Amino acid sequence: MIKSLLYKEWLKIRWAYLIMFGVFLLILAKIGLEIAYDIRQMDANAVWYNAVIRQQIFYSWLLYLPVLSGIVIGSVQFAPEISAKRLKLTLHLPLNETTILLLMTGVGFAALVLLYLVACISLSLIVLHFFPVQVLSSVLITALPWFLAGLIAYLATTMIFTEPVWLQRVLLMIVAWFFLNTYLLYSPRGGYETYTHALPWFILLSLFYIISILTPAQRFRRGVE
Amino acid sequence: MDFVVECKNLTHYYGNKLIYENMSFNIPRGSTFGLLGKNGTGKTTTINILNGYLKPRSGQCLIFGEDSQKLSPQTKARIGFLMEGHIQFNFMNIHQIEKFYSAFYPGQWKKEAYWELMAKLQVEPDQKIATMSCGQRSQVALGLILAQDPDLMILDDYSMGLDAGYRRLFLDYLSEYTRAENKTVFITSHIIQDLEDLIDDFVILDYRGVLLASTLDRFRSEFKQFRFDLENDTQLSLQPDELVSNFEQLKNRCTLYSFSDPAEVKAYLKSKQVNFKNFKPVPMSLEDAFIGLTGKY
Repeated sequence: MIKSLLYKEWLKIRWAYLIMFGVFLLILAKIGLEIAYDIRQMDANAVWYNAVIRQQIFYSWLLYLPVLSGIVIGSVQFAPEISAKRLKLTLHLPLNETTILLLMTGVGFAALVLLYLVACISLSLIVLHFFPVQVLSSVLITALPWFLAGLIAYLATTMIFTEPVWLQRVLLMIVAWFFLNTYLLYSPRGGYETYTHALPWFILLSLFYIISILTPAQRFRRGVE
Repeated sequence: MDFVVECKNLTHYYGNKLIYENMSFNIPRGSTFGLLGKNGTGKTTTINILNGYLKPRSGQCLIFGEDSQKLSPQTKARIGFLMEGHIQFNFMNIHQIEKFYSAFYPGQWKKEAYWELMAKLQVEPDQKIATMSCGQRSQVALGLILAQDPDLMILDDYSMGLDAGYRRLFLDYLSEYTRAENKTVFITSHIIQDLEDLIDDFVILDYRGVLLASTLDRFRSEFKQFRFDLENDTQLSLQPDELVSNFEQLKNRCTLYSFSDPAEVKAYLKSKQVNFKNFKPVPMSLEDAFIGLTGKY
């Protein structure tokens, strides 16, 4: 049964997921090619000066991509469930309802984690190709809130879709905006590791979504209108 | 008696609007129960309560002895559910959806029933359900329920959007299913004539709540339509009361619906000083009777 439920979720997200995978790889390729081009055009010292001394974030193209992917995957997964209230069919399946909802959300979440892992590994390989290993940890720590924001965007999208009352939907959108704004606001302009001290708080704040992820779907299930 | 569904004193409101108050009905095992009513009288609301998707303001429904708000997975496996409009997972094709559902009903899934219906459809094997016609989608939804082989089928307005051919096909398969031992059906439809040979018991809802709960046989034998002409073109104002269920008048031709016998109706009209002629009972179909009871508006 669980395998079958995962199969259904995969059918919904597969094309969007593969496209997002492609977009990530294209952007990462662009970042790598730009560094190589700058080294050839300017010289390595200038690239080093811009990237390390002036702390210009050379991979800022990645900034909004995790959030975009989170919204896209959440939408393609839950829009068909909410359209014509198909979630009723899903919840009618002979499985525990909480298990069903956790599995559904888990599929999108795990798919995004895999996507972000591949992106981080690819970014690491690009960084290590051009820079010493010491730069890598700064690069990844700086990008971590962006990927965290991607997961938050996914969870927020699922909640907004499953919430049955429009007023609460708007409230959830405002809360999501606050979260995403906080996670992404200063990152590209403030240099590396701007958020290092705030990261544990970000992770703690993210628990809000983990704890409340099923609440809107349970409200849908109870027929709240 | 062994009841599959027991609804006790259901009361529900949307905001301040009363849908029904203290509605009770039981569905015996092996019977077909119709919930009839015009649009907006609470049929889908009742189905949502039965499936646990809506908590009534008060009252309770038991399905196979379990509270409908807390149905166990084992009980859900015994209930086939057809959503209004034959809604299914329309991002799947007919192979994918059969593969998906079959895993949830091990030991009871009858894939032959599904493929028998699919063989009648003129669809490509990889055609998404979303691109099928309403009739074709209804066959997919019906095929899936038949393959599930549930003990109780809950069908929310199966006739919506179907032409006569698909409606007949749906009913033929449904009749076959109900003939099987101990299968129970809860059905709503806005095409009453289709249910004439199908349902055993029914409840009729109107905008004020439950109008009538009866068996089809009793309703047919007790509810009557009488026609008579007035001697002159006066406008009668007969309001529904203990004897009159409904009354219609077009010029001097009057139609009166009642559970009383002809002699009682005649005596009633005389007591109201109505000058009538050509008084006669008129046979009715179930749909005529439904409209007679609920009115045309």
